[in-house]
Amino acid sequence: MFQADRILESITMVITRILLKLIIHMLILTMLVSCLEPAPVKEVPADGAANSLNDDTTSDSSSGGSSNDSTSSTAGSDPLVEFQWHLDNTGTNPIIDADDGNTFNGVAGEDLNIKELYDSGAKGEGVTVAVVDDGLEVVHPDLNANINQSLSYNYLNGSTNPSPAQNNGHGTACAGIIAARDSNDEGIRGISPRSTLVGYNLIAGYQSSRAFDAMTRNKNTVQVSNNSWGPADGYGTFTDADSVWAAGIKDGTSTGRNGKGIVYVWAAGNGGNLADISNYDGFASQEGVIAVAAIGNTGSFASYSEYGSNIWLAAPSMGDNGEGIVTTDLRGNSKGYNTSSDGSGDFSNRNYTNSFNGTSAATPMVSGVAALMLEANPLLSYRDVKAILAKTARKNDPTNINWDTNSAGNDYNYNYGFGAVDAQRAVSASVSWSLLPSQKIESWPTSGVQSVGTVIDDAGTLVSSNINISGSAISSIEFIEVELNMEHNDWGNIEVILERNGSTTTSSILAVAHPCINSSLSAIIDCTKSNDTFTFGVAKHFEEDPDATWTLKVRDAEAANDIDNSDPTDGEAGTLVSWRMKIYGH
Amino acid sequence: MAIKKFRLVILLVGSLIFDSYALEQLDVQESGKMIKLYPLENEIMIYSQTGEPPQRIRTNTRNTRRISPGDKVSEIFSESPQGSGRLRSLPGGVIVSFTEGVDPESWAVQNNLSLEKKLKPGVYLISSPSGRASLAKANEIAELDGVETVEPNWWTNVESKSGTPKGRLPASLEKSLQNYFQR
Repeated sequence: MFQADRILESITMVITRILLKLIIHMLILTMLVSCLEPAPVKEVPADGAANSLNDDTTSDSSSGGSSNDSTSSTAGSDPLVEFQWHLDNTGTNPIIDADDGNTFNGVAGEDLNIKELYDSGAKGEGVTVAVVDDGLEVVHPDLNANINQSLSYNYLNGSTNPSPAQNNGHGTACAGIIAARDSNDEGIRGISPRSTLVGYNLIAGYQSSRAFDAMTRNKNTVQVSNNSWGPADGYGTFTDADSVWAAGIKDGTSTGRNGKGIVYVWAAGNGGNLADISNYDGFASQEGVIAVAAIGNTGSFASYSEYGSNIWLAAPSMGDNGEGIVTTDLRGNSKGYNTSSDGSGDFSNRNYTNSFNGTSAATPMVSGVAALMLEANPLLSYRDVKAILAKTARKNDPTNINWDTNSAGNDYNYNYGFGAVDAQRAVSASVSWSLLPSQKIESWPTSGVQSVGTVIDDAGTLVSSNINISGSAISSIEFIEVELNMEHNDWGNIEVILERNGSTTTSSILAVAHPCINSSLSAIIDCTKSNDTFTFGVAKHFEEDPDATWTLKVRDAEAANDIDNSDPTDGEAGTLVSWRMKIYGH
Repeated sequence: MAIKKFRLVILLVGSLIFDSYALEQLDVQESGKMIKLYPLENEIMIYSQTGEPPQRIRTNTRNTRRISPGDKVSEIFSESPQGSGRLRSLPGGVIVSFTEGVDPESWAVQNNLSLEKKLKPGVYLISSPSGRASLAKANEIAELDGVETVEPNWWTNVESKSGTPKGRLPASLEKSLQNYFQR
């Protein structure tokens, strides 16, 4: 009997253990499933008005929170906003939500000048911004409410879900800078936190035809196109723009937004430490794009940021002190920039990162400001937006030696373009702005090209050629393209300068003598080119009168610079065949 | 067995490409200009048809990715003989703009070609095989009546602009590079 009881007791215990284990496993499984299950994707209409401020208020009150409850978030807050120095650089912003002993090294006021604008209610409502990138995580809790998934596109699988399949968090980081939702008790706040985001994952699988598509998709709905990408940096090579992509830009600026033109914002490039300059980048040198350089939280250029006469303006990013931009990151511990393996120095909430950087981060700053400008005045054309940004930019780093004033009185700096973007001034000017008259485009010389045919010798003799412009129908230049036709085995030896000669001379450096770098970025090589032409983009002559004598100065400057640290003359002579100017203006 | 078959395909493709591009210069017509391209040795691009990003792989290593049925394969071309700077390859497709008055659909039927996608009025992506075959197709189409411009549908190595370029120059060179322009 006793034996039978023991056996029964043992069987009961085994069954109980099994049942307990089953229950525990079920619980674990349920938790895992709930973790893996994506949050429901909300599709918002193109006007981005699906969630109003009232929705946030309701959701806060339903959570039982109270403004007097110090343990819960303040109603409608953005808990990490104080870390976003680009919105309000106090000079004492915290860097990280854990005390790691590091202190902020920024300078108060070196930000977008956006605080009062936000307080006045400017949030980018009704403006759609396309993030053309490696993807966009549509379920991110700080982005989801602003994403219009039905207008998004995935080039790899043809769906409308651009969420990255791999560990590609770049587009999601750019999107957060532009339009992370405000007042939702989640992380951060975008520059235009109520604008609508669409994602096109073009760079996950670039093709010319897709590039055309990404530049023109939903072209009457998309008002701003953010492009924190381009050809590979650091090699110093002269990279022509993809002609099919360029045709997409032309189509978008001429017919997009029902003729007002999509505002394309473009990264200037990150090869500044490797003698690469933005002028050699055919994508960032188009008339239809706004090329953006990077400045750190002290207001000085980041040394990786490429300079050039095509740069339109500068915007905040990580500078040389290593203090980066706070933005959205792919959710979870193992994806994106802030991961469990290398997340030291970053937020404990791994849906965000404080380390975003490059001209990649500077570009969406300008996209966000452009969205605020278009909210303030939807009638602005892409040319108006460019002009306002130039006219309202702040002269940052005023003692930098590259500040110059063109003959129209505009300050320009190869590192910063017309200066640091100023949201408050740009939006204010947008409201009262007189729209620019129709654009005129002229090619000079009118006969076709200015033939030269002069040898560019190895000793550094200057070759100069003039184009005399008179009777131009343009009185105010918006942008210049200079097409150079040159036969030379090493384009890196050549210095190219464009001058407008008048009572004062405006000089634009288009190319400097520089070495090119091999594919592994480990040695210096000649800068060969796949053809004999290259088109430079020139912003510096903004608002000048084209009627003048324009001089192109070309010389082999290797002798002066001894680029490859060997024989200063390398026996490589060439010929300046011809050149011409294409002037955009009104 | 299946794995062996794929390895064989890779070896065959690899050996064909290896033989064909050592120091070769390829002249290609683009936007009315002749450009020079240089096929990279031992490297190909695979374009998956199942939604995966294109993959650049080396053909002379053991860990080569399998080429699945339906994948497209192309050589990779550099714009410099040293293999630096902009890279290109040919995932397939030719972009054609038509002269005014041409009906693209009847033109395609007449020339036994397939319109894959309309990019804008008068500009279409036309189907073609990947790799050099698409160059050949582009040249073929350029000779046809009713065509204004023809471009291969290039893949190029664009990249996001966060972080500094990968790789490291010797410190002495890096320092000297910054001296070419006083910033």
